[in-house]
Amino acid sequence: MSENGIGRGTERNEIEMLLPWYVTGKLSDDDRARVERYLTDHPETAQQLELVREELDETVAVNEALGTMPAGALDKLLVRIEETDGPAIARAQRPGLLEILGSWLSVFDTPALKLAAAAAAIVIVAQAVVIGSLVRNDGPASYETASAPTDVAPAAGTRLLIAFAEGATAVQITGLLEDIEGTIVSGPKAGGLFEVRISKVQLTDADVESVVAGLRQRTNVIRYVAISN
Amino acid sequence: MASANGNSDVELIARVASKDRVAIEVLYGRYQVRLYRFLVRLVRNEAIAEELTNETFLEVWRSAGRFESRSSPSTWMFAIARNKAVSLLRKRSEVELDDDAAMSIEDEADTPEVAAQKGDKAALIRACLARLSAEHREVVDLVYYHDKSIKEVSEIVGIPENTVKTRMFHARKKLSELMAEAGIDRGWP
Repeated sequence: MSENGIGRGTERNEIEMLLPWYVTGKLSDDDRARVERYLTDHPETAQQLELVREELDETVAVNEALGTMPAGALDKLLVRIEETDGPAIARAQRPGLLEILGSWLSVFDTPALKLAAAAAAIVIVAQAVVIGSLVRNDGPASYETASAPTDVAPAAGTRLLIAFAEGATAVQITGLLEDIEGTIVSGPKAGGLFEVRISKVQLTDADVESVVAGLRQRTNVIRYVAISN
Repeated sequence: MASANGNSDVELIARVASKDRVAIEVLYGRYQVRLYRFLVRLVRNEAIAEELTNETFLEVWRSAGRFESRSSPSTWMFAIARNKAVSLLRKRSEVELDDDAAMSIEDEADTPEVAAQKGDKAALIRACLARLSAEHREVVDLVYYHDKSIKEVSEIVGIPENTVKTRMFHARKKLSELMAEAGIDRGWP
């Protein structure tokens, strides 16, 4: 059967064809009203909505299991862009991560969203997971379809306050966070400070001091580090 | 709609057109994962999907000046990504695929029969989704995962809106048939 072979079918067929978009909230007002009228008149059809939701849930699960771009992919793109554009812009003149983060975050209207997005965005940079869905602005989604970090809320354990150096790149910050097994749990706070959890348990004072001393050596990535109380 | 800070997708595309590198990095942050996953599902190879994702953004960098607001930037970028994947698939025999990488993203789920025997309905649906044809899988992904409207799918895939609806219908019908073959009757169609 051709793909258009059922387009002129019964009203039921036409409604059934619209149900996926009814569930995702992507129908025009007219079509949505049409579906709702049909569902009211034919309540037995509502059972199909459950089938659509099952399909949707499992499609999301399949896609979420796919992983993400590897760390360093953005740097590869920027190299290609520099090659494309002829004379390269000196790397030092490229925007620092904080500037880019600020740009991402500026799409949010409220301080709470900015805070949540800042923590999420840094975690994403560090862990090479999704930024896109967290800062998407092309309309409300009925489902959050990308991996939102689950551990960005303030949590127990050992935490540091860190301000990254202006010129620090995503790769450098990623590397640093991997080195200390750190996760950014909040920020930016005043002064560009981020709170970084380096252990889920409370380390001894000596161990924390040792980590902090090591970080203070990495001035190309960090401009300030202290223990968070 | 213009944002107060010039960071709507449309504004970012305009800034990319004027060779603003912050703008392309912001767009990259917003869309790289979604485009990558879309491409992985199309080409079934992570390394190639990674390359095509960057090729897509490179094309955005080069072509932003020609972007017309008839479609959203998101839809435009998905269409670019899809075109690149389709071009590659057409000459796939000329492309040396890394078999190991390709295998790594092959479906690792149970077969529908095994999932059905375990009584795991969610796993069964996933197993049957993996057995849809490429064109059915594509439209299902665009609708359910990438949250695209009928018009947007039409623009990305390059088919009429009625065909989008019927293709989705057939994909869902096929899914039910596959589940029925595994012993689960969904009661539809």
